Amino acid sequence: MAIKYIIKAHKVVKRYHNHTALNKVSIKIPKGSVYGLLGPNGAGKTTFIRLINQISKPDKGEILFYNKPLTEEHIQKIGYLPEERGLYKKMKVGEQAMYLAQLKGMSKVEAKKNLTEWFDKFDILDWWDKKVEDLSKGMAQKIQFIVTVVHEPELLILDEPFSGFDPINTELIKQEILELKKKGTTIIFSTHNMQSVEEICDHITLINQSETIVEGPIEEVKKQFSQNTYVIHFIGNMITFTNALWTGFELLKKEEISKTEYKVTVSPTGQNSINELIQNIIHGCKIKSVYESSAKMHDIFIKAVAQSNEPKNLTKGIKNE
Amino acid sequence: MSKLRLVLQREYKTRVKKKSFLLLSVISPLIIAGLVIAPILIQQSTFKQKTVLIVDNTLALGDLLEKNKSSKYIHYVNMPIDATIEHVANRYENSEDTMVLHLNKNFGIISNSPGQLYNNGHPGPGIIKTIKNDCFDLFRKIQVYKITNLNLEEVDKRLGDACNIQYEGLGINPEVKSYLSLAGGLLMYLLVLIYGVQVMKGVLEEKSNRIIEVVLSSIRPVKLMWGKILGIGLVGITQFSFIIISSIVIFSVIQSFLDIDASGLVNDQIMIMDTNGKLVNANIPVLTPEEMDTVYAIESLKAFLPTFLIIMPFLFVGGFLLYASFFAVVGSASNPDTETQQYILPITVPIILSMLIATTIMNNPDSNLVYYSSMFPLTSPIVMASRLPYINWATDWWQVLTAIVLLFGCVLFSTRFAAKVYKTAILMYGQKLSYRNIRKWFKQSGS
Repeated sequence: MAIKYIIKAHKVVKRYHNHTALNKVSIKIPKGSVYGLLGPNGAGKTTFIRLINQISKPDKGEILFYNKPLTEEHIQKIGYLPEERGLYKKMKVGEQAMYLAQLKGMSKVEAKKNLTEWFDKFDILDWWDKKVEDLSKGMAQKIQFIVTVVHEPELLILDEPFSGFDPINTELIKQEILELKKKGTTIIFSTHNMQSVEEICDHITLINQSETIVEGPIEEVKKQFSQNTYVIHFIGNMITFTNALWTGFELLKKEEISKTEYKVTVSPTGQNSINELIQNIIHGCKIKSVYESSAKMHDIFIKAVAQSNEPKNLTKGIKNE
Repeated sequence: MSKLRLVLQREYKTRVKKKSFLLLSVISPLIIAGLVIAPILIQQSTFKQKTVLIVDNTLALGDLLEKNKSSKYIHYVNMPIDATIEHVANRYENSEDTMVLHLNKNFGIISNSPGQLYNNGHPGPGIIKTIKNDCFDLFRKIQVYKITNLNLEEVDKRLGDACNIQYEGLGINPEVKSYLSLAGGLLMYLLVLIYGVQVMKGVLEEKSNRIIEVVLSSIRPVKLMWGKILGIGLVGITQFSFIIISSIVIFSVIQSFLDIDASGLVNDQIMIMDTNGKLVNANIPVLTPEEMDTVYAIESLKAFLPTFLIIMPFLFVGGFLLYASFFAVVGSASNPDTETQQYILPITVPIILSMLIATTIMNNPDSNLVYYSSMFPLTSPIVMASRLPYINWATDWWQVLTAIVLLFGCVLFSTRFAAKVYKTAILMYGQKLSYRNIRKWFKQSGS
């Protein structure tokens, strides 16, 4: 039977001195997915990533890689681009890329071959003998991306991969990520850029205060946070439209495109169906489109984190009193 | 290739390729050689070889003076009794480097004045002084014999033997011993300090470059730390070997350049007048005092070299690992903008203290302070390195062995401590470097 999940974390706990970085976190990362690992600063994302990379070990719980406990052998199947990334400034680009590729278990010949292909693809072959200190930040970022993917990892962990890139290079890297996804690479994508999450991810986990607060396929999460609002784009009289709202709808937002064209956002006040509203306005207005307004990841993030913080804040407040 | 080896190789190659490494490796032996060769070169430049033609009116002492020379830069030629004035004048005028010494007929027995010295160049005070001394020495020997009936050649011979017994008994010339002691201590001090600090800088560089997280996703922290320490240690050993080998080469060149065979010192036979006025063999060194010092230095170095080459690597490896692990702790626990000085000080104090003790060894090699500090692990690498020329291997071998065993025992603890702190501290940014935090990180990685 084919294994569905590349990573399964079960009730993982990690403590640092008097601080709990992860508290019984359970995450399943489907094979071949682009998995968004989200959360506010200090939520525990980097700790979780470090546990997968075996930079540190969990105090409790376990992390399985293809259903097997993580071992040193798995290191070469993982590529990791941390948010705070750097290179040895005094070393030459090629020499350094070779070193990092070999550290990932590649042979010298294999590393040279793959690196040459990547350098060629990014059109940076002439940087091979340059010293890293002579490169710009964007150039160094490209090298860092290459050394992360050069050993063809099955799991790629990208922590804020677009930081430091201009829009052109951001697009280049985005395309490479999607290309790698097509080839079957599983990608863990940690970012605060919610737009790129919507564009790239198909699953997400939101961690807050060391615990998982939201998890699942992105569409399901969006549904879960859907506010039951609809956007209606019509041509006609606004008074006619407002009169029809008596069927049990509330006008949330009105956008006047022209004197006779509007885009409005409405929400049912009870259990009413959108069909009832449409039936009432269809005789006086020409409807161009109707669609359910799904929640944006940005709003989901803020709402979920706020909800998760509420009871704790309340408890804190009671304790203080 | 194993990952440890990869890290080790990177640390080694990047440092060995640096210009500063080559510069230090080449300059150090040249400085040492310069200190030895400079006096000789200076002497050579002032003492150009001169031929002194002896016109001997005493009819007896010319031959003796010819063989009683004290410098190889003076070549006495006793002119035959039947040599004409024209013949002497011809040789004298044809060369700037030829002088004529006209020995008075009363010189030696009655007068202490040898006579007139003619020269047509600029012989310099050194040459004239040497000729004067040679003549006076001859005069002294004759006068001593005349007054006391004592043959000074015999006395010199006995004194010479006594000196030889002294040197052979203790292996190394005592004066050279003190230099070797200082050099050994200084070399160890520099190597431990320079390469220890390099470990700290290397660790801090990876942390401040932010490459540490990338590297740690490929290799375990402790392996990375060991790769770094061993790589830098190997650079130290390479530098050490480079300095030793090039020093040996340079000293060999000096020796051949001087064209001196030390064994010839006591075998050079010259003829001198005995108590009965007959010519006999006598052992008289034919080198200047500066040359003799150099010969003894080279011979002593040769005698000390095997001990040095066997024991010093152990002391360096132990001392380096001990201090490198402490330096690695400071490096991993620091942040790029942290002031590390106050945390380096407790590490450098024992190193500096060791060097201070090492400087006292030449005056009192058997003091209690030297004895105990040469075995105490924090001071033994430098103090024992400095004490090595004074070690009597027949009775003191166990002290060296104890020092090495204790040192490596201590290394086991220091490296374990360093590994524990390193693996937690290396990823800690923004936390203050403090003893409290170091203790916390040590405990944290206890599991």
